[in-house]
Amino acid sequence: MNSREPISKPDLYVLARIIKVLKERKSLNRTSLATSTGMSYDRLVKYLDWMSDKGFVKFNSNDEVLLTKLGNETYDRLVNWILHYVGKVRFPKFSN
Amino acid sequence: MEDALSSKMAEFMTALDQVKKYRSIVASMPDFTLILLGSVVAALSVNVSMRLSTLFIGRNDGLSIVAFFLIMLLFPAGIITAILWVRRKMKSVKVGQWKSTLNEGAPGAIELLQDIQWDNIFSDIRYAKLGFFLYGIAKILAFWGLAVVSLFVFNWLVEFVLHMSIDYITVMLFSLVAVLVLSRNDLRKRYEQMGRLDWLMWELRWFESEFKGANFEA
Repeated sequence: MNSREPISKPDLYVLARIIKVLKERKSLNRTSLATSTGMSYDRLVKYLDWMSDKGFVKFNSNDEVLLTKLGNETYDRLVNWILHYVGKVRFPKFSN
Repeated sequence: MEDALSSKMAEFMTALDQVKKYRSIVASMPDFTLILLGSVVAALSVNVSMRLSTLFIGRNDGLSIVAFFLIMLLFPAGIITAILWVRRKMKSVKVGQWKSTLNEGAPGAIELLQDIQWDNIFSDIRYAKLGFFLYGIAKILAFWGLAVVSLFVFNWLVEFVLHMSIDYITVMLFSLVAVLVLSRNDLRKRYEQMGRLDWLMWELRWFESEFKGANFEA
């Protein structure tokens, strides 16, 4: 992927990680967020641009990243969406 | 909600770990067969050596009794070693490596789902079933062989003491029935586990097609 190319289809795992960290830490600058999520700075910025366009994150006056209400709801929706599928699977109990 | 997802994913991954363990049975089947054949060859070698020594040296001096007990020990020892070997292989399979990823919560669950190699999992389930079946058959055959040898010895003793004997076909059939009756719990468990593997296969096939087809709209 070209480093300047915007994200067209984000990785759900990466999205979830960013939102989870922001949920826990409330606000963070980009560098700290990149460290906390284990992502490269450039990649994180691209994700933040995409998330900002979608209204999931916003930036405060100190240029720190904050999670919006929509971002919070999207995370819950994502968890619910996966649970909807995984929850339907009935796993057999194996004995040793 | 996130806890519910983690707990369901833990259930998911535990089932896959179990499949990995069962899958290892197929891989250990050549070892199982070799150990059994090795014990048979060893028993036959003892028998042949004993007969040759009697033939060439001309004296027995209780050698046949020692050889007899050795032969009687070698075959059961082979069966026990082979079964323990398969169990050891099963226990040595690395499981639970997903736990640290799942500790991340929902992102971990997503990563685990994204990393699942569905084709490998379905193939593992098929191999696990095959392994169960072959291992079951091999165990029955081994125990049957042991029962036949034991009954022949018993028959020989009865003939020696009471001058009456049972014919070979009866010995073979009786020992097979005895082994099947004694192994009924193991056979039932094996049958149930194979049914559970089928169940898991269908559930995962459903999940794979539903989940792959679904699209999360952010």
